Amino acid sequence: MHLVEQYALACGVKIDKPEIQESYFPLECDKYITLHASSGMESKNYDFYNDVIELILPYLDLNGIKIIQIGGKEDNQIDNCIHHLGSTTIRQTAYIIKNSLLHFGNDSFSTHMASGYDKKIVSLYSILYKECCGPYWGNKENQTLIESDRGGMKPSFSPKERLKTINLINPEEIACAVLDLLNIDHVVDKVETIHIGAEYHLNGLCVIPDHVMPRNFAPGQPANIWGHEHFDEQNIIHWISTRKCNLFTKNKIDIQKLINYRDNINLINYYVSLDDKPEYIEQLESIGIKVNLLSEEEKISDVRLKFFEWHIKEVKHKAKKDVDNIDLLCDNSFYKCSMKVLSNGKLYNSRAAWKHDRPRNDHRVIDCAEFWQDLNVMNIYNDNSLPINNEQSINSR
Amino acid sequence: MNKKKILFHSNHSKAFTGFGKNLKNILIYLQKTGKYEIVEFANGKIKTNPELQALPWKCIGSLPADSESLRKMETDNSFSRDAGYGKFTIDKVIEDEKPDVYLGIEDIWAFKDFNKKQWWEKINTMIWTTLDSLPILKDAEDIAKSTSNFYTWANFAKKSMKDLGHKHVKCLHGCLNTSKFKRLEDKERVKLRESFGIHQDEFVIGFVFRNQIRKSVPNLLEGFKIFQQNNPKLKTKLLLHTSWEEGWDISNLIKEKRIDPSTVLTTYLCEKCKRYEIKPFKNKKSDCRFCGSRESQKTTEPKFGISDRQLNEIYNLMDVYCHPFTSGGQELPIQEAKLCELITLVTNYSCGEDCCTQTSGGLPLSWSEYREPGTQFIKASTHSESIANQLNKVFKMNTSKKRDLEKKSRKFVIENYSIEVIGSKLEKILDKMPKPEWDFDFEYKQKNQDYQPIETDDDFEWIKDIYLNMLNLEVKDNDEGLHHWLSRLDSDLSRDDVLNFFKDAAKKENNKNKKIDLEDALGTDDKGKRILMVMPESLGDVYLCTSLFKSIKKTYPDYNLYFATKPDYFEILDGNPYVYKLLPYSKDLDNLLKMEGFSDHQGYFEICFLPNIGTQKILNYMHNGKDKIQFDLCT
Repeated sequence: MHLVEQYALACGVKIDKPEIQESYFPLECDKYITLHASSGMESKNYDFYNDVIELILPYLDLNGIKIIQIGGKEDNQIDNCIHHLGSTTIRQTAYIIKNSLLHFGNDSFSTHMASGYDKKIVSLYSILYKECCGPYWGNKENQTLIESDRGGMKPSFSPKERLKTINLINPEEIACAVLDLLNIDHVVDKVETIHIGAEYHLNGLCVIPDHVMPRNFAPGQPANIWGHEHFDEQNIIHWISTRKCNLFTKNKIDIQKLINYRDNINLINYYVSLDDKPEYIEQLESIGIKVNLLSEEEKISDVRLKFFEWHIKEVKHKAKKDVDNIDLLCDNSFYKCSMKVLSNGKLYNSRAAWKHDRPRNDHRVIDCAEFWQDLNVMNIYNDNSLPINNEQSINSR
Repeated sequence: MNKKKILFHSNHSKAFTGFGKNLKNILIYLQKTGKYEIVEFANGKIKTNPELQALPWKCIGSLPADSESLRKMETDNSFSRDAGYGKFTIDKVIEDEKPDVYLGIEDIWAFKDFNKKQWWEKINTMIWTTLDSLPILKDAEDIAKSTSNFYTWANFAKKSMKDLGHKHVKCLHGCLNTSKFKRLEDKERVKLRESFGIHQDEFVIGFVFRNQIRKSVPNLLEGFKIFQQNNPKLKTKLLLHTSWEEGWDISNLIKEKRIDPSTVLTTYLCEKCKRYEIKPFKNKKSDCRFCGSRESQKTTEPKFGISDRQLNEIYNLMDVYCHPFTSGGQELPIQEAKLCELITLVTNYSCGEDCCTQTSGGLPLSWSEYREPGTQFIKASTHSESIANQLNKVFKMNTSKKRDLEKKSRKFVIENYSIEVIGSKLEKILDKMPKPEWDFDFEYKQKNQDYQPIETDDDFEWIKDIYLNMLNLEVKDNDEGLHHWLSRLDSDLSRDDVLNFFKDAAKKENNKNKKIDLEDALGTDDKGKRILMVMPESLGDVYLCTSLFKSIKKTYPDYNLYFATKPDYFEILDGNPYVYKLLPYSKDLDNLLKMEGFSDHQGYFEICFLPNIGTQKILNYMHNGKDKIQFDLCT
């Protein structure tokens, strides 16, 4: 039964329309849809709204429709939206929803509110059944409730999930539902997600220390320094002197040089081998640096024996066979990667793009070991609306 | 005369524990003086237990009696432990009883954070605690700093506290009724031995203890074995008065050490006739030779113990008493053995330091240090060779020297542990305490969250000022919190940062203590015509509830609808024509009986709906999303 039915049964009364008095809120636009990308529980929050917006934005622009993101001031800002996060009262939020063309987002109070106003709704569910907490009022034909298939599992009913089942919903499914309810013709249904890595939503800048940038470059932007891809101690020290860093290295770095900048080092990811000695790790820890030991060694049990006092994480490289829907891979497969790579002052879309010197507007899948190794941070998709081998990326549509 | 009112917080005075026995002796002594109004606050007893009414003084149990707490105690160990120590009821007891003195007699962790309670510095407080191991717990130091009356049961703990700078700490031993234990006439002792088949020339070594891991049973058995090997011609017995069903597996240890099991005796008590027998351990149950009952005898345990008279007889079967342990608060059997004029061999650590000296009629057992996993406490592992050597020393001691030492034993306890001595010391301590001036006003004093601090360059004065005027806290110059903020100002925080932290703390505290006085919050002319709906969380659920109001009003047209939720959600309901009044949610409002009334409590509402029970406390609406309702719930 639905939540409100349980409430009605507990009170022994019937259900009518919900009521709230709206308050006027001045808006920058007349034609808009609302997005609520947060909720009371982390496990209900979908992580790929940026990809959804990327798909629907060109069509909304053509129709003069804006996206207003509502929610709390702590919410992550979604790109290309007008943000009213934490700046409205509940009644003003009601006003914004009441006057919108459509509301979409996670399972939260705003969905119930939109249902009370009989708005068009696209709403996502995973940890609870949509039948129990979906919109109760309004025309059902105007509501698209998308429930994750959860990989075949039942809902977890858990406020926190290790691997969020809500993220098993593909961005194009949400985008299609929004555009369909708005009666906008589109070819978003030609987009087909093949694979989204578990860490795709974690954006980061990865610096190859084959160069340095002026100290005023991207101030405050943290970076992953990939010393394991290219080792230059002097450049590494320069980078860690300018910002907070996660350092990756297979080589030892002079402890005395690290001491001065240890506050900037969140973590050193050290690729340990059988040739290493525990004393170096002890020295790093003794100066207050957190160390994460990684190993690519075949005989990892020997490494673990030698470094028994530490937890050694095995680096398991992914391969092409690990792509979720490998049968869908074709010449028209594209990718987006959440880890951008900076090398010699030039930005690349991925590690594979850097290795193969691919320009930023080239989003075609690169069939090489490095590409597949990084599947965790990849979103791979087909765009069947584009001619085969068209080098235009989805960004340029 | 206006008697001084003392609240004693300890194990119940009828409990068979060290704390319980001590309290019984002390309260009887003080009650007899006629000078005090005694209130006992008994740990581990339910507040309303009728047994507590049958005491010479007022007694209140520490455990809450409401059904919710009782249920929680069954499932939540931490809650249960805290409840046992009176954490949830002490404030109310202080408020109701208004004592002049609070006297806590327990392990130190029982008083954790008591020194932060509103009443702590307003009335006289005294802690009388057992600290048995080094290093001293931080909790003990915290409490010691906050009361001028901090007493330990053993000199070992007093010395350690003084070494840490707590110069005011003193030792006050737990007390014993010295008349209960004494050396019997020789002819009675001979008769006793005969009754249990113990020969007069047998050398009997005794140990009275609860079978816990901290009692060093393996070390004693090893020492006993060495002593036997060193004296092969001597008939010797080891008498272990304890339970063989908990703690150490004594039978196996005896086997492992290849000790003749007939040389290790124990006490069997008959469940039927309550007579005891001393004999080697064979089985858990044994037949009673006195009343003839089958399998009615078993070894003793805390809830199945012998009387003091019987225990006195058991001590009188012994030639020497040996008490090896890892650590201990006082170990009453040592003093009981001394009262029976036995030389006591005691581990020279912890409270044992008091009782192993020649002047106390004892001999020390040497030990090695080990650390207790988890707590990191220093514990003693008593040397078996030392046990054997000291037993040998007693055995070979000439009679007059032995008698001299045995007499010293009893004298030492009478002079240092007797009710009369300890009671008199406690009387002096209590009598010196002034009458407190506090009016026991437990009303929450609003913190001044908008206070603007004084202008001064001195950080020390600045922080003290905001403590006092924003949080209503008068902190001492050595207060840890004060020094924490000083060092943060020196290192990483600005004054604005610190001020914001204090403001947040004040705000939180004010919100937490925001109480609704239902009598005031309710309408004056709608008594008997009130409905309450409670929905503490969340925004969406409160919104869903608004769809029920019209129907509620239609069903109960003469009633006023009150709605309780978090004040953050009031905005949704402001101006709603069906809601008569909004109430800020507090846990009290979940108490259906309190809201609707029970017994002589008339309640506040005729009807109280708690619809969230079936959705937020129990998910009684999911059913895989497949259940159906066979009637129309919509208007």
